[in-house]
Amino acid sequence: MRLGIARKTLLHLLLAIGGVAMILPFLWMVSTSLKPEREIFHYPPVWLPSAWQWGNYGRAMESAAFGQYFINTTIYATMVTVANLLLCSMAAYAFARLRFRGRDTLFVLVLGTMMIPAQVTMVPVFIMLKRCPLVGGNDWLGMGGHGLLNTYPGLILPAAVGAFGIFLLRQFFMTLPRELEDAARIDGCSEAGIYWRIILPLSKPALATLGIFTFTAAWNEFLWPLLITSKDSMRTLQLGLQVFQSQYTTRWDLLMAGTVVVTLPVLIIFLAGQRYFTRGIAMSGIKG
Amino acid sequence: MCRWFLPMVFLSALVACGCARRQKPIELEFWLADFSPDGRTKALLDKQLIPRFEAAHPGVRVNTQYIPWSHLDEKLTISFAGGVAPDVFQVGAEYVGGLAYRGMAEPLDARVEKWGQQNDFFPASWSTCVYQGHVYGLPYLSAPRVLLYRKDLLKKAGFDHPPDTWEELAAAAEAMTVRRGPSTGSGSPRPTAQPPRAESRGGPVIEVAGMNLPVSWQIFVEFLWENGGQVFSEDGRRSTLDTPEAVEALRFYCDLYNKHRVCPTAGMPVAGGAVPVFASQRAAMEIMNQFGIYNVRRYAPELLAEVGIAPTPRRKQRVISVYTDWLAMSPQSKRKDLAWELMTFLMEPENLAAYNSTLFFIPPRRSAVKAAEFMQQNPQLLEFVSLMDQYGRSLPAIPEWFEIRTGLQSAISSAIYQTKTPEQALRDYSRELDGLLAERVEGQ
Amino acid sequence: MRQGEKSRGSTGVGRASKREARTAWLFLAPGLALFVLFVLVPVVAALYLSLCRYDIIHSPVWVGARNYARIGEDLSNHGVFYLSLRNTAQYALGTVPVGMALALGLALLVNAGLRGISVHRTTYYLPVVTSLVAISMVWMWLYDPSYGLLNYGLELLSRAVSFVTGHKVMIPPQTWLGNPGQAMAAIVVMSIWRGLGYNMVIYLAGLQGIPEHLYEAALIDGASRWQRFRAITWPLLKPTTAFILVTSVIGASQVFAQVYVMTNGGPNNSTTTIVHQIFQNAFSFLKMGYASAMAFVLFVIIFALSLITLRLTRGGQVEYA
Repeated sequence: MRLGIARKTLLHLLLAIGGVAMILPFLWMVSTSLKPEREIFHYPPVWLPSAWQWGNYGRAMESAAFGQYFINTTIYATMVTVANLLLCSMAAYAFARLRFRGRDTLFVLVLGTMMIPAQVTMVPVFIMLKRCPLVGGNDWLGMGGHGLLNTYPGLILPAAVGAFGIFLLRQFFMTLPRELEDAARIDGCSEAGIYWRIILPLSKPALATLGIFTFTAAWNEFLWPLLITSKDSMRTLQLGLQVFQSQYTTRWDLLMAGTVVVTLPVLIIFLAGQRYFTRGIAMSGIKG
Repeated sequence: MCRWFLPMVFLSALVACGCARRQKPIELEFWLADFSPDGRTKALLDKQLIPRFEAAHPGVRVNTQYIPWSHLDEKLTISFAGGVAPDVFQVGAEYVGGLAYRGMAEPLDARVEKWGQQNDFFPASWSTCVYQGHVYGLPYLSAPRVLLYRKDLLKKAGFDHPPDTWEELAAAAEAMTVRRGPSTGSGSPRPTAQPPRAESRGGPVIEVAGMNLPVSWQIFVEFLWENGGQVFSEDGRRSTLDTPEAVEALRFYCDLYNKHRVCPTAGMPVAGGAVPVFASQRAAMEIMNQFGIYNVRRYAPELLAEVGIAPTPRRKQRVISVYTDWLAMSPQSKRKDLAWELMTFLMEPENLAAYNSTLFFIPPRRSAVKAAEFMQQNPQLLEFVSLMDQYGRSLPAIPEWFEIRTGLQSAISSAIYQTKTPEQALRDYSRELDGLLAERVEGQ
Repeated sequence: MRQGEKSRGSTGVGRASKREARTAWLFLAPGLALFVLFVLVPVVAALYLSLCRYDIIHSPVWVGARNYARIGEDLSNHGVFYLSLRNTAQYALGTVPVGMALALGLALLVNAGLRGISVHRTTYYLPVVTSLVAISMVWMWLYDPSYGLLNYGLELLSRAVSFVTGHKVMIPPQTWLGNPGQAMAAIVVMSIWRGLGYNMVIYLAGLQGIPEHLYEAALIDGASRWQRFRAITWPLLKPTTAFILVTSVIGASQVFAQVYVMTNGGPNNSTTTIVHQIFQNAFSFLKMGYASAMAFVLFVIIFALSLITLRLTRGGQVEYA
């Protein structure tokens, strides 16, 4: 689409105004993280601190074992993302392209589970993980120990596959034209080959999207890690941020500083993954 | 000889392994919900108190977990469900009935009897851990709610003593409320030491509220007690909210909002109570625990001398409501004696004082108050203690407090926001409460 | 839901379709195994629990349909579950249409290939990147009646208007989250702010899937921008739109975190949502059976809505002309 200069500037202006509204809360967050405590509750609000408290960031990170939390969260988020990308794409391929009895019913069933709020399934899953036989000190009946509580598998497995990912990828796979696959099938390529060599490469935008969403969601996940871990060595970053709040007071400056630090990795991942959103798909191979 | 050698080696290796396993440290799980946001409580426990306890009990390791209050319920619940409940855990003022009723807290009568230090605790704090005559825990920190007021503003408004009755409270609040109309001010940041000028009385915006009252069931219960009323009957089976005392209390509360209009403009600091209205001079009085003082020290220390402490106003009687957080022991614990030792260790006067000093809470036992330097050096805090001792009362224990406080909050909100009259709100909720209490299955 | 599949009728095909089915199950197996274990089984357990009285500490006690009967009573008395239904509906109606329209518009703009567009893409996605809990706290503060930026903005606005018109105009500070009439709207605005980048990114992925040569052909034919949108973009985006619509409706029906952090259901039950009620009943009141029953009532509602949605968009089918 070609646009004239005037249109381009107007566009940039509109987007910029909206953009300011988008990032205003973040500017506030950063501003608060750098203020001395007395200036936090000031009216009219103060944007620029009178004395820049860079030390808040250091103090925030020292308030708990954020280094360990960072490692835990990275492992958790990465593993969940990889598992989702792999398992959901395989399942989505089956739902989108292969025919078998019960396919549509199964898909509806999978979709249906998205409609049950996780809060009511947490207790059964917790008990299941705790009673997992032959791990964590359990005997073969699953009694006696802690099972998969306080472990990485316990964190990761319940989130390793999700209906959202299957749904997203299935919809996307359905938009891909069948000619490429039919040509490959005629050439004798197996289904696995088609999946790996044709479908996946063409689906980079959708996969990138799912990957970023899954990573972000896992990075920001709060309730499940809270319930499944009760050792400091297994906590995640979001749990670590809770250390700045108590019943009657909150250290807003440290909390904001901690939040900024915790948010940065996801932001970087998004910036790095940006190019997958802009890449055009080479569909020219179909013509002729 | 060779034939027996290998089996002997194997056997002794097994025995050695067994011994090694037996030497694995005994783990006690301890959950704390009240800890300071600046890390002082953690430092105290992780670096001083717990190591001292572990040194005195070789082979024992205490795994201290800091669980935020906002998520304590779900964590406790799911851990009990999974059979991995902590040995010692901290809970709040409304918990004893529910925990006792569901078998989530171990009765400690025999141990307390042997310990013999019960009488050192303030009665209003101790009663928080008692349900149907049995003790289920030890109080860990207390927060009495008193009336805080600005002496300078009160004097300027022409009063020579802090309000003593409901009528005096309303009058003083009205006199001290500063309102303004369309703004003509310059809007530049106001130095906190100077109060805003009264530009017009009677404008729609309340610049300084005479009385900082959040919309809270706790405030209502306070007024209710002052009027001689109760939320439910002594035996916990009937609601007593459909009574003239309750209606009067709620009407007084609503009038402060809607008739006298002395509460902060758009009402209440939202969940978390983290924004200090009184300390930043947007209110002249408030009913608050010692955190009112704490906030003034943090945000406006130059005002500290002007903050006065008085008992909450009386109607038929004077009551100071006291909220206490306490430690309980899980009946699922496999090391109850050890857990009890941890609890009593934490309750030793110096340890209790040290813990409370990191949090600015009132230690719930007299000897701890004496041992606490931050208390002894602060006459305002000692005033809190004296009021707590004279007039303190804690919430009566009942298993349904969580539902009751949610329901009460709705009822009060509907009255204050005028979607129902006070009589209607209380009548409707009273009926609901009767239904709730009737559902309880005794002896489950 | 795919139409137009004719059954093929010879023996060669029978073998092929059996092999296809086997391949399909092989592809599904690992994901499905985890899914059955961690999603399906707990859901069935929750269904069983919805027919019991379960306080999580003691074993469940069978009570049949009593939990559902209680929900029925609540609905007819306009009790708190009824209010949560109403509030959730308000939330969904407020966030879904507006959110989707804005996201589509944004995606189209961002996809226009302007130089420097990645800055805008990043700023619009930024709200998604923080945790909902953390950002709810920031917004709680923005909405604060005494110190929040929003009321400060109103004050500035008042002053500007007064200056321009010459009259003393005052827009009083609003209570926002403390006002039963405004609290839900406040949460809706915050949620739209947050969800914008999310749906924008999905639309972008969908837009990327539209082959460039279709636009080139249309340009050659002399189609205007609006015609190109209507004939190419919008139809080919149908699967994406269907997806976003269904997931947005499902997500909106399950709104929880913002409510829990910002208002905890108040003031005056004006913001409590279905999942908030479920959570409260399960973990605070220890009425897990009742909470599970509410979850299944929610499920039925969402399922019905999703079916309707998928029917309306015809399952997101796509045809190439």
